[in-house]
Amino acid sequence: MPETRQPRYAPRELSDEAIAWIVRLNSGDSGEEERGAFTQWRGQSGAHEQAAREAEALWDDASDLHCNPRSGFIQPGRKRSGPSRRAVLGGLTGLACAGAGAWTFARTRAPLGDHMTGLGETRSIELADGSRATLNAMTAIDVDYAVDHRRVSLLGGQAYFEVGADLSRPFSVRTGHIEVQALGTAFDVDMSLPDRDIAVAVTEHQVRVTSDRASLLLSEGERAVIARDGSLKSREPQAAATTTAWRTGRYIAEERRLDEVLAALSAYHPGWIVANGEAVKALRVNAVLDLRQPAASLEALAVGLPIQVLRASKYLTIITSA
Amino acid sequence: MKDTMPADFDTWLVDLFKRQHQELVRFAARLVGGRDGGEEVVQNAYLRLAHRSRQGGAIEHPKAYAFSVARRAAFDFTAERNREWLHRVDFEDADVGAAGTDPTQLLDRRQRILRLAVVLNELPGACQKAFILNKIEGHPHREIARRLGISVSMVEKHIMRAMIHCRDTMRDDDAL
Repeated sequence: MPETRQPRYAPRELSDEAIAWIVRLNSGDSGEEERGAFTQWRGQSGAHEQAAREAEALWDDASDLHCNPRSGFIQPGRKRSGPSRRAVLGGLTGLACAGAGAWTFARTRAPLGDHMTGLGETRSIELADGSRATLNAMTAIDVDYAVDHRRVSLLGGQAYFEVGADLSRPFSVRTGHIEVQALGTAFDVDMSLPDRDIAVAVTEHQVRVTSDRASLLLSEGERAVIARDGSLKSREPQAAATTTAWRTGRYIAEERRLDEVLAALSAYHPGWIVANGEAVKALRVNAVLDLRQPAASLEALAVGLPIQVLRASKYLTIITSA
Repeated sequence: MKDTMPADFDTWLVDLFKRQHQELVRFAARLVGGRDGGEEVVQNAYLRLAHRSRQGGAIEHPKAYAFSVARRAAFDFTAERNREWLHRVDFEDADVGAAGTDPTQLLDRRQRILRLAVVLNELPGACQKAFILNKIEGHPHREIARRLGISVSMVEKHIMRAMIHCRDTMRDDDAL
């Protein structure tokens, strides 16, 4: 498998500079201008970005420490009270995480979803009424069936639903900010997109998509993207084969933004995939990718696009412009 | 170089024990927050050194090496002591956003945090204090300067030093 490698760490001088930036940005005395300058600084090269990420990760990891006020001894873990550090400093945000939402953290603790899948895993589930839900990787759903309704909550990830008709018990899928009402149908709901957008694509008949700010009837062969605020972001034709490709381990990108493609791959890729800069994220992709081979798929993308894939560590892959 | 390794590693180890024992225990006690813990860490460090001697190979700066072995033994000691925390998943982590996407990554992050806590305890008092006041308690540099009676640029230097120390020890540890 071809792979573009670079040294594990950025050179020390660059790393020192990146640390100086982080320290200054968190001095309590810096504003938008410095932040913008830092964004420019890190954009200069892959090595700059790598140095910036290392410094940010250090700063971010140190958030989870506390200090015994009497002995001065520093220990891991947060102190549970006191004013929020964020509120005081309004400092840098941590690493941006492509794809997968925060729900995955809680996974190990509570029975969060009735059905869920892990990294690179897909599963098809037959629901009590014979309807079928197919879960893409890193997905969780809750099922709530009652005499007068069939309700599924999509907690994270992407799922494809094949719904049996039952007029007395409407079938709906809820996610954070939208509800999709099935009208005897098959459709896909994807909440693994960047910016917490949600995509609904229909492969049979129709569904009604409702949010705070939109209500639309979506038909077979259509895909709509609903933004986080509930507004309709886009609506375009999409073939059923494209919608359901992930079920056979493929991802078909037709004029898809790169960050959307990366979000889809990240459910199969151990670790973060981070695209550096809006120009890179907005690149249009036309490709058929193998979800089961995420690293090879990234390399394939790098052949056709003006990008470079840097494997900074086991957990971090950075995509920059070539 | 007075610091190179003698031919007989075991002799050297005994030597080190005699000459550096007190210093190593003080160092380790600082890292784990107590004399008893320090003794235990140093014992474990000796065991590691003895194991290393059997594997052979050159060690270039034996004294520095002994201290870095003690540091690693302190990581393990601290991990053991914070075992429950290390494996616990809090809902609060859900808003950290940077923590990664699966339990393996979460554990990996916890281990990094743990190592950071240990190495921050190595820092001189003022440097550590400036870092804690800014990073953990969220005070601006200006206010820290006033509190500690030093200049704002000194505060910045202290925090830089703390971060660079963290980076260097984390890189060292990653290289193993």
